[in-house]
Amino acid sequence: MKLRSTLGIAIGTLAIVGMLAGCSTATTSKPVGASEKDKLTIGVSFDLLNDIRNAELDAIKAAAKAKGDTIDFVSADQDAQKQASQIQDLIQSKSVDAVIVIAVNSDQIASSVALAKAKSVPFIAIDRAIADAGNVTFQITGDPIADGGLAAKEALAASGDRTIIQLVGALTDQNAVGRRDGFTKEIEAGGGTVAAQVPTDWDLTKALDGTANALQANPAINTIFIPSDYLLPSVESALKAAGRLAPVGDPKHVFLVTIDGDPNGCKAIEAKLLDSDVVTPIGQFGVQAIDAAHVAHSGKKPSPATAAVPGFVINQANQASESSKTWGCAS
Amino acid sequence: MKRVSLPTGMKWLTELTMLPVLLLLILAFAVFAPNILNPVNISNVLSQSAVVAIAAIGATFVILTGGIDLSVGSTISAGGVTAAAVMGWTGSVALGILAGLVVGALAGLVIGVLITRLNLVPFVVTLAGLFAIGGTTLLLSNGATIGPIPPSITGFGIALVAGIPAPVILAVVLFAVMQLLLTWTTWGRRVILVGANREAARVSGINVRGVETSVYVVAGLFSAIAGVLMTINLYGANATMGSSQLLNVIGAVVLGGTSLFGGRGSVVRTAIGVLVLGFLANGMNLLGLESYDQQAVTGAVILAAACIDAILHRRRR
Amino acid sequence: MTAPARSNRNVLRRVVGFLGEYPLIVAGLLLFFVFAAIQPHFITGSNVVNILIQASVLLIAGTGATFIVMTGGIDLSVGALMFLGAAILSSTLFGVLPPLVALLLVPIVTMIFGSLNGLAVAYAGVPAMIVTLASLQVFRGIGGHVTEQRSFIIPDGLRVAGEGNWLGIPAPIVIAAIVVILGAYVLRRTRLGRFVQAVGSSRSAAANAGLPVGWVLVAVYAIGGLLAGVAMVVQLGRLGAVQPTLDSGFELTVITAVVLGGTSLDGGRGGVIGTALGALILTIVENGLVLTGASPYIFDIVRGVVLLAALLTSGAPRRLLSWIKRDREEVLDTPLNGPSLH
Repeated sequence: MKLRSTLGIAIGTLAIVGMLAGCSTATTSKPVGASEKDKLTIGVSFDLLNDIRNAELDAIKAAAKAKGDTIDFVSADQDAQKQASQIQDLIQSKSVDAVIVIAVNSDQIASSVALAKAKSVPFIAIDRAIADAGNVTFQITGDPIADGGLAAKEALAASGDRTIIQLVGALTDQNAVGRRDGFTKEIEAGGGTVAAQVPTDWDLTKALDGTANALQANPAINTIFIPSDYLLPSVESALKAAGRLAPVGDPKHVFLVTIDGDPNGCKAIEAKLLDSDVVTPIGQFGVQAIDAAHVAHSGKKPSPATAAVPGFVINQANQASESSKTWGCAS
Repeated sequence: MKRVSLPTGMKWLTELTMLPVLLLLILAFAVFAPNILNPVNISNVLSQSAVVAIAAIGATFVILTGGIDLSVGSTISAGGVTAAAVMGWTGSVALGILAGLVVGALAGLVIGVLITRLNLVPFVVTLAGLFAIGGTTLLLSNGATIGPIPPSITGFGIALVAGIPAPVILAVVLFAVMQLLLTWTTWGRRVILVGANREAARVSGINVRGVETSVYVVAGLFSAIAGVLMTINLYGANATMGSSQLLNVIGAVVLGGTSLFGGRGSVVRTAIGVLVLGFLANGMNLLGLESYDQQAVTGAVILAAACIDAILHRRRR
Repeated sequence: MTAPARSNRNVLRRVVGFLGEYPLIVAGLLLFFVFAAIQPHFITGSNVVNILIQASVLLIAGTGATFIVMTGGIDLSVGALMFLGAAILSSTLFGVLPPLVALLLVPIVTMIFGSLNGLAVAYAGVPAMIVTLASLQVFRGIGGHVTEQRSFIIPDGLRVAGEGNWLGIPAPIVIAAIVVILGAYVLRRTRLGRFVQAVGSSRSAAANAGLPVGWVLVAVYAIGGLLAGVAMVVQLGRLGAVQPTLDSGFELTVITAVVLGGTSLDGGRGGVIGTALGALILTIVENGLVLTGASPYIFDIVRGVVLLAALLTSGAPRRLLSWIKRDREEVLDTPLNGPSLH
């Protein structure tokens, strides 16, 4: 009995020590010498990691590499309190020269903005606009309302009356709400009919089940608005189950329009499954954010201090010319 | 482990088995990331841990009676959202905080009454509470973030008193008060007794239902205090901000060595558990570990600690 | 469950007895008709098939969880385990395997990880809640590591279990039905099932009687893991894609279904059929709320209230009878969802 207990404790202790040793191999190097003052260490804090975030991170890393900067990355798993702690660690314990942030929550990031200001560390917000934009050094985001509007115009440009299922992202995310509102406004102005709104919470299963239910309740559906490319597989599955999945050009085809321009969206356009995609200019986020960090570090104020970059459309007609500009088609 | 004999009421000092683990952990990190020992960093870790620490005090009392509270995350959000909303309506910080704490205590009272008066299983009642409290907060706040709260209170989160962050002082005071209540009052001893042997407690004339109800009120109240502090830290509150705290809170109590079977444990142990989790997260951040690797390591550490604790105390059960 | 058509009095009596024990099932059926009255589309054959398909993943995972809860355990890691199973399909190793082999490996891998939970519960003596709360993080962390938090598309060859149609019935319904029937059979009619019941009723009594308690515990967590993998194979087939947050929080839905079905969290009392009904009620409520256009925020509140109502009404007729007959205090002191009264 005693031997077994001792053994158990020994194994447990070894496990912890082993894990810590494992951690050490992942240490990020910080090759910033005193002589290279214009090469910065930049802390990057994201709300979460997924395809788009990985692409945004790659864009930042590419832009940083071009300038010789070092990136120190953390992800908050959609926890606002965790993000505040991580940014505090970046600024105070790791003494980064600037932070680039995708906020978990546009209001609750305010305390981190205040901390950065107090410590004179440039604070750069990307992707999600933050409420306290006045105290941010620089902000570059997409324009969710314009993007939703662009998607609506694509749907309205298709011939015939439009009867639409509108998928909606998480209602606590203002990017989702903006895309919804922009789409709805433009559709109402153009005479389309939103027959069903499907709340998805950005969840694949809810998107699938909700779309399946809506397709059953409304057989006249001929258009589906999908507010992010990564929900596309769910919609395709629902269409397939309802026997309504057909390529562009087939009379049975349901017009599909999405936003983001990720690799799935790009492939679906090529495969003639998706009609239109509003592409978010993620590459620009990275370049402009890193530029702003250098401008601010040299003591100047980036101007303009905020930028909202609307997306552009890639569709069946223009894909040959636009795919080179679409981030999802690059990989 | 009990070579030194201490006066009754100080025995919990001998049971801080996780203290050496905490020190070893910090030392191990210090080898690879020396800035973990930087005073600013230590002060940051302490203030970052305050929210979990305060919620974990309440959870400790529930677990000491052999119960469990899964609703802690929802109550954190409910307390915070209520406080932020009332501050917005009345412009009064004090009224807002009071309202938040009342909502938390009431939620705990309802849960406690359901469990004790109707003899329902704590796990299920608090699971229902997790859904119902979280859902109600979401519905009433319409998913929005309530804020910003008045600037007069936001300073509290970063204020220093004698060089120590104010949230840390708040947490330490609460820990001290609750540990004293646990060791020196009749109520505290009854909490332990009910958890150690419910039947014996009843036979000896203790109002078991009253004691059990009281710990859920304490848990609700402390969750709400944590929620208000989180709101102050973040300048605002929403219905989902507490949802990821359940793992941290229960993880901290377990890491500290309070037994889920009840009757064994203390508030001070929980404090150590909170610090282990806090320094673990901080150290892994400083080392630049990916968030998914951090998650796996945190889970493994909790599991390892629980296994060691269970094996050490096997003969006691 | 509506088998009384067979005019077997014994079956009829048991059905009536069961419904009396769990009036919520009756309430669930009533609910079905209420939704049907509000929204005529609800009752159409295609929507009923829809509901069954949408319930399939929960039915399969719930069956596994019932085994675990029957021993007095709990599994909070099931959602993370499912994600881990899906993550494994993304690794390059599985790209080269034939689709059927790759799919079969998912439940095998989740079974192995699931039985690790069982080992910690059985041999280290750690409470199941802590083990699975910690392994939830470990499994999700490993899954995140394997996928690098990228979402990925499931190739068509791997989607049979979600999209197939066997004998005119959608594959998810067929698989869920097989799992539920098999699960109910194993729990009621086999030696393993009797052992599970015995361990759940009293672990020490089972040990004293010479039952292999440790192995039974490992076995139920292995079954839970296996069925989590099967559930994921169906879900992958339906979704056609994996996202990093897939099934986070699903463990709470699974436990809700189990409790709703009347399985006692203290172990020893309950069954797979009850869980299946609980899963169907949850899905009906969600489907009905969406179809009647209720606020998306209200589902959690309804879920909480339904859960409490299930607790409060479980065994209500029996409790009422004994309340009238016997000492009131004594009845109140019998935990509702607690140890068996038989």
